[in-house]
Amino acid sequence: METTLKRSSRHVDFQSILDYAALTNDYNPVHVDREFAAKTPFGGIIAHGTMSVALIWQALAKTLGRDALDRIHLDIRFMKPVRIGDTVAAGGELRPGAGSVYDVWVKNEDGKGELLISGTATIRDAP
Amino acid sequence: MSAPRPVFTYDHYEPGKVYGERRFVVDEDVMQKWRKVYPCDDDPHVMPGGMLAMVILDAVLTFNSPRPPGGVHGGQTFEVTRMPRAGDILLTEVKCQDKEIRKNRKLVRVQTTTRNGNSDEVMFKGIMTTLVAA
Repeated sequence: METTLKRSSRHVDFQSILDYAALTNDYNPVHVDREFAAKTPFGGIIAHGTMSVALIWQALAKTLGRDALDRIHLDIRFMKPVRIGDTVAAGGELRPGAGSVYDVWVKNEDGKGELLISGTATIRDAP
Repeated sequence: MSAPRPVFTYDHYEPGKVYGERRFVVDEDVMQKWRKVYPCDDDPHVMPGGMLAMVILDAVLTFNSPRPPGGVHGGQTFEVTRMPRAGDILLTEVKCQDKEIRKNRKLVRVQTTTRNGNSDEVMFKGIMTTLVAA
């Protein structure tokens, strides 16, 4: 089993957030309304958390193959928001001594590598 | 013309309650819309994993909305037993698992179970943790 997941990344701009809102029908104003979002504790627009989770799925699929997706338990927590202008990357590492458990993450690629999403992907054995 | 639905707040969530079942068709149209946002997800046969959240959100927002503005997604689990394929018809049941107020934050966990509409096979389950705004 691969010890490191192949990374998947994307740049997040306002248009991509609007596109994702249309895709999911999730128009929470914290994602799409600049004026509303500015008054929240976030101080501005944040991207939908699941928009970046899609990158974790891409990293898992690229590394483990399509069939492995039928045997995955993914458990993630949203640690910090993704903002307009961020470039984010997803990846993961096989946890030593823990069987088929990957520690997965989404990080900001701004140089600091801030952790934005953290979790685990557990791959069950093939039948 | 019907009256607008009342805002679905923390108080409306009832642990154990099933809110309904939502139908979602994994057709070429929806896959194309997805690929416009995620061009890398270009396998024509299997539904991209990222779309699991789309199916879950579609179901939850059908029943537990309109939401008070400003809530955020705190966490999510996905237990996949079979990733949907193009052409599958999915039925997602939405159920409130539990809720709690922790440090003045209102947390709700909603459980979703998605079955194949033809075979009744469970394809994936999810637990969506949301910090609701009111």
